[in-house]
Amino acid sequence: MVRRVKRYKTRLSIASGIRRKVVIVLLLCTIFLVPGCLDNHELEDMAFIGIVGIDPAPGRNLRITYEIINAATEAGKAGQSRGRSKGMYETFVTPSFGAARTIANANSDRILTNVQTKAVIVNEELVKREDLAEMIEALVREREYRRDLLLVTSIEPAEKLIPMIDSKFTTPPDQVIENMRFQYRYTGMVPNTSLNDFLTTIELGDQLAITPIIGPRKELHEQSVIPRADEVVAGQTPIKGGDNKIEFTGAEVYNSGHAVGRLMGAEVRIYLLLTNQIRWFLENIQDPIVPAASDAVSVEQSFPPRISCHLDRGRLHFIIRVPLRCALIGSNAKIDYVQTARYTRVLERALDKEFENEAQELIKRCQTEFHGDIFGLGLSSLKWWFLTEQDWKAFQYTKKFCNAKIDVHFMFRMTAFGKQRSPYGT
Amino acid sequence: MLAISMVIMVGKILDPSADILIHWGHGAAYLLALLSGAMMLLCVLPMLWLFRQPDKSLFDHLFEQFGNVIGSIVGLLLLLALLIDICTTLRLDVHQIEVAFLPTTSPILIVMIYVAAMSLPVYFGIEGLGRSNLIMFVLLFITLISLLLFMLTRAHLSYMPPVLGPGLPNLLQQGVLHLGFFAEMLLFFIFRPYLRTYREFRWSFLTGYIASVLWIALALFVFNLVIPYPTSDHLMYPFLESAKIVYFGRFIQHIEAVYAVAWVASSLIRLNIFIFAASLLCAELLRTANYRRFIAVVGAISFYGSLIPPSIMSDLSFKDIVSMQRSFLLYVSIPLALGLVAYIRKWRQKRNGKTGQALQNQA
Repeated sequence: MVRRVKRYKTRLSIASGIRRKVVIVLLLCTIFLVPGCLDNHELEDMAFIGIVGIDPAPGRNLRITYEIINAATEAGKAGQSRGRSKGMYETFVTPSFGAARTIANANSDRILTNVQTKAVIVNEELVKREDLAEMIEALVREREYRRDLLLVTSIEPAEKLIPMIDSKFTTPPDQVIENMRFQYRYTGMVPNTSLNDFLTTIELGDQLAITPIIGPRKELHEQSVIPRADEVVAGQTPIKGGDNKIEFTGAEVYNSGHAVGRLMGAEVRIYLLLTNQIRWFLENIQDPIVPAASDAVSVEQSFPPRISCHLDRGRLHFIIRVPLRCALIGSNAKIDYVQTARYTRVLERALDKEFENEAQELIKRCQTEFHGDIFGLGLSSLKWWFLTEQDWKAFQYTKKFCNAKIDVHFMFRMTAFGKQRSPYGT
Repeated sequence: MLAISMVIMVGKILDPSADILIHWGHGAAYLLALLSGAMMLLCVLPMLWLFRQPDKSLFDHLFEQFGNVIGSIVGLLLLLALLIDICTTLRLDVHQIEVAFLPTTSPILIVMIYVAAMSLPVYFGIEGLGRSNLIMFVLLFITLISLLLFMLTRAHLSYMPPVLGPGLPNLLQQGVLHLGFFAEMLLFFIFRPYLRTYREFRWSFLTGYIASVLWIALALFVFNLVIPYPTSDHLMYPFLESAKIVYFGRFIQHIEAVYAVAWVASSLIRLNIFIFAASLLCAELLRTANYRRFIAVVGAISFYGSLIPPSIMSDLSFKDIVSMQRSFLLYVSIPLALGLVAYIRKWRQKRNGKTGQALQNQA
């Protein structure tokens, strides 16, 4: 009996050893299968869509333009510097945005993919008629598109504009767009709106969405004059030469997915200042003491604006204080703004007044022209008063915003004066 | 055990299961998670003292307190709930893998590979699983912490209010209905015999559970600051999407790839634990010591069960309505009834003991 039990136990331990080895082998096989190489595609078989353009087409159709990157030539050959030829462009008409890639795939031996798409450019004419959020619904549903791609409104047909994105620094078109999206930090004349920002703002419903405007650059002529460099939208600044034939300035305002108006570069700057998105920019103002002269200042936003709000006999009253630091970088007024504190204060107050006037004009446009809040003032200050969604909805913020009293106080502090102590001629 | 508990619970938030809390909790999904977690803990606490006995698992107590017939029925119900959870979770994970990595591969093939990868390691027993869990725990938390920190760069505090979302009464009602979201905590009671002392068990259970609930609430809170309600409610894969919008310019992009790989590993280890627990339950239900012979069976059930839902939405709805809203009574009543019956029996034994002693003294 004891011998039989021993034999049984030995057999059991042998079986257990064999089973352990089988399990290890199977597990190793699984490890090789788990990475999913069954679904792989060679890079040479693929082509990447960098920019997508959407224009109107007859009927309910859309005219789609793709800027296509050839992945095989992207890296350049061995020993050569990295540089890429101009992208390839393709335009076609399709009834829906979602299935547009199929049409493009039909005339290419590569697999077209949107995983590297950096921007979607929509024609202004189209979005005045159609609901943009509804039209680009496929973008957020389709697995290849990313919610961080840049959404841009074009004042010219996207089909004509996309091939114009051609940097002389050999930056590929999709990267030009990607670099341009961060220019807002240094110019303040264009917002950085991703697809996610746009959809979130539209769906929240208490704020109007804005997108940057792109347009073809205007050529400089002998008679070319503009009042101020920032009082323009894309395509209105005359420039000769330069890097690109396109320009990023201004913003398009959307109410419920429809384009309802444009913001000029200076207005976008006010928007960015009130939403604490700007870092640094240069500004030129008329000299407060010598009207024929002008002063250039560099402005830095280090602190967010302080927004307070209360109900004044049923009417909303916002008080916004925007602290800013600035440095005098140029003046032809021959006034000693550096060593005379009284003059420094005069210049600071002139800047305050200039920006307050611009802000008031923009707020007036929002209340009367766009019928909504582009700054999200309600979200940042007022919504905290409400504990539930039902209470907030019942408050009808947008309606109240259009009748609200909004005081904006800019608080410029001159903290630096460049490298000169006193101006020329004093 | 702490690592196991946290991987099981926190791993859940990274798959589409998070949609359930976001859908019912709106902008206050984090609050719903806290309420459901607290309620589940309150339901379980009355039976905690039973687990002072080192060698008895939840099933042993069920048989002991309810008798063989009712104990088997209750055990079977728990096993069924666990199998449904495995099948629905497996399908959700496979869907997320399809979207993230393998869009054209047949889902049946992915499920097959997944089932193999989640069943085979179970043969190595709790020690192997525990050690690999510890590694995954570190990986998962590094990934999760970094993801939350990266997400903060896209966060807007103004997305937070209204802080009570749909309102406190609504949240409390949904909190009760969705306490099944944390029902995986019952697995700790099955693993009790693997811990030496009651003190160790109680500490790892309470710490692991509370930390997991707090982590889930924190993750949902940060997520809401990045993608607010109602946009968040429109997403099928919330955390994959939020990882995709993390953007630091041209040089740091597509970090969701790193996140997704860590998620797959943690998801597999989580399912390993589920298969282990289900096999253990089968063995205990049939009163046999060798759980290994049930691994293949549980694996096969998971494979076929995960293929039943025709779409991800039906899978998610089933998980929400059947596994949580319709089953919340099961998760509430079993621990409470077990604790209560055990307490009454103990009290009666004590009284009988006292009476017997008094009679003896009188005699």
